[in-house]
Amino acid sequence: MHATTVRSRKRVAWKQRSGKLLSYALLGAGALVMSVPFLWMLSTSLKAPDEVRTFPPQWIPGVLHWENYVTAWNAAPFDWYFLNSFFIALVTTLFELVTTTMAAYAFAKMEFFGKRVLFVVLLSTMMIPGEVLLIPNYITMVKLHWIDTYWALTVPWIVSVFGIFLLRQFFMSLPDALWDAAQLDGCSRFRFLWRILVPLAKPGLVTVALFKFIGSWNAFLWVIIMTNSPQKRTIPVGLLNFSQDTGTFFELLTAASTMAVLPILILFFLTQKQFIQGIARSGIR
Amino acid sequence: MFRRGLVLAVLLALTLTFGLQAQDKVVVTFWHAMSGGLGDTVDALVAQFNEQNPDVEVQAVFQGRYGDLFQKELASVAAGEPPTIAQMFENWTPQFLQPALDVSALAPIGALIDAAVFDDMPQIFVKANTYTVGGTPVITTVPFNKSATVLYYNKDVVPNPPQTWDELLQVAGSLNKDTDGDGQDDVFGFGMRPSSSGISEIYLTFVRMAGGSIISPDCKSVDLNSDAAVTALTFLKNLASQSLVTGDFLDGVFADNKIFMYYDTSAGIGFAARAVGDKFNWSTSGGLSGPVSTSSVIQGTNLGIFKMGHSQAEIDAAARFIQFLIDVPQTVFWAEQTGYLPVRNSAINSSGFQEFLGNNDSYRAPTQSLANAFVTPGLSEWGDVRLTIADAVQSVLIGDAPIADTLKQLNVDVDDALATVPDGLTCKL
Repeated sequence: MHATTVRSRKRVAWKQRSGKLLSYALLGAGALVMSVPFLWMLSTSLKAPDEVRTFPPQWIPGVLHWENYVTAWNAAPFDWYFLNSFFIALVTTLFELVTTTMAAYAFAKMEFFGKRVLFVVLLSTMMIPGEVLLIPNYITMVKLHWIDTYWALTVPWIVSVFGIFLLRQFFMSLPDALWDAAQLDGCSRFRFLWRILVPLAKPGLVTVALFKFIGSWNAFLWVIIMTNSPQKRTIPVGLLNFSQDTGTFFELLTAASTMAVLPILILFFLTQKQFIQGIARSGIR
Repeated sequence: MFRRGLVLAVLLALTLTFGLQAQDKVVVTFWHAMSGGLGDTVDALVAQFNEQNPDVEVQAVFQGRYGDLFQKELASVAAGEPPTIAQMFENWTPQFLQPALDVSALAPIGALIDAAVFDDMPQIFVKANTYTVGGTPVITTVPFNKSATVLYYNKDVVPNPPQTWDELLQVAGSLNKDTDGDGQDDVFGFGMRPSSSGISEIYLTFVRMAGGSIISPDCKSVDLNSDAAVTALTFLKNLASQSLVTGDFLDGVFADNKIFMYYDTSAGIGFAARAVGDKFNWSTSGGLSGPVSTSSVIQGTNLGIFKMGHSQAEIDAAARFIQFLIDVPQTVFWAEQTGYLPVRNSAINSSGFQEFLGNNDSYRAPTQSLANAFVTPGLSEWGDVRLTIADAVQSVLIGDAPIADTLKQLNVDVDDALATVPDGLTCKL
């Protein structure tokens, strides 16, 4: 009896270990596949022009051309582009967190006339492609004299319907009993939101902030249409310097892209725990 | 004391007055889609003009790719604040000349620039930049970054480029090789990129070589179901069946010695040079003849002056800048730096440019293509039409669609698209 129990325990342990091994192997393979584009980008950024499109690809160049990064940086005012990208991403993220939090709370935890209809109307705006509204929006910016200013690059983007939807889902997962208890203690809605709900909603807020930051960082069409001077433009516009209709300077483009993607990668690694929690609890898969 | 103060006050007033006047430059905004080195060349020309014309300040603004530039031009016209000068393709210009606009947004460049310039221009450029405005042909734009379709070839493998369709088919086929013994050719004499929308222009070029016309003189119907059209697509299908058909830019596989010839715009010469480096000798040829003639399609944009929202002083200054750009020294400089065509015959024949061609043989073929070249129709509908043509050609070259049926349907589809072409226009390609 004792020997049988030991044997079955060993079998179970072995099954668990091999299961874990298999999971890690599959996940590792998946991670490698996912990282191939990044590795190709890094590899290409260090190649000479005539090495870029050889087939089969040469993963490690014979000579590492680090000067591609210098050439790419000097090809356009990337100092301004990085500064503007940081500034616009930061400002729109901070303001969106404020507006989105309040709107999401109202839709999640408050009752008012027309709430459902209003929420559906809000969601339906997500179905309108941005390109369709580009010309009317441009005319609006012209009339406001906001063309080529930071106002045009920030104010229209301090609200996000997707962020409201995501945070609403998150707030709805928090118990109503919290508000009941707070109300008994004489807490106002506003105070309850910022003092109690927001600290509990950190994963959701980090998720919204990360999506917004990345979205603002990568914004291209709006920036190119609403700006004229290099001093107002952002990194994605700068990357166009390496592409033409008849060809692309891949080694310079990938060098500039590597520099552009690094801050986002660092940000994601720092916030990935809260990001995954936020996605999981909001119900978005 | 009082007198000294008065003198100083008068001097100050005079300084401010003349100082302010000296700073009252006429500002001309120039929107373009020239990135990287092309943009640097634009900036160099702008700087030179501004230095020579202290009363004018041209501000060149890069506005992204052609699609982004077009969106912004449309938006700016809708907002009533377009730039002074902008690049535009032939099929963009009619959008700014639409009768729906109370006043045409574009100034007639032909009336603003020395007429002798147009006598010195290859006539294909003059034709391409002439539009019917109020029933009258008017030179509305001027050529800027123009290129021609040419045959790129590896001189080490193909010392004499094919001159006829039959030669092309025969030479291309003879160079196919199975280098790894798996029964499939890995190296090809010819490469094609049918997935690119540029296949539309290449196809139309072959239709012209087969003696076909493309569009009726009144611009309202096409002739893409003719015997010449079928002959052209049949030839391309035969060529594709023995060629490398890829979705990648062809200069890459060319540099990699996977193909030894390909047909493409001369605007890609600089990219081919970068990709090939010193690996082998190569050049371009413009002399490919079909069953009836030689032909080449001219691509690239022109420059237009927006009069909407601009004073006469700004329009005149813009005209001066454009005159400067198309003067012989500047158009030669532009061509040498960028690989685009000079826009004046005297520039092409100048000793400086001929010396450049002597040292850069690959740029010669585009200049020789001008005599038999054509441009696609300057209709606002043509942007969608060329995509329809590209889809049809791709379905045959990649998808094995039947040629006759596909061209029959293509003709119907394009005629439908041209139904909105207004009366009174002339299409002479």
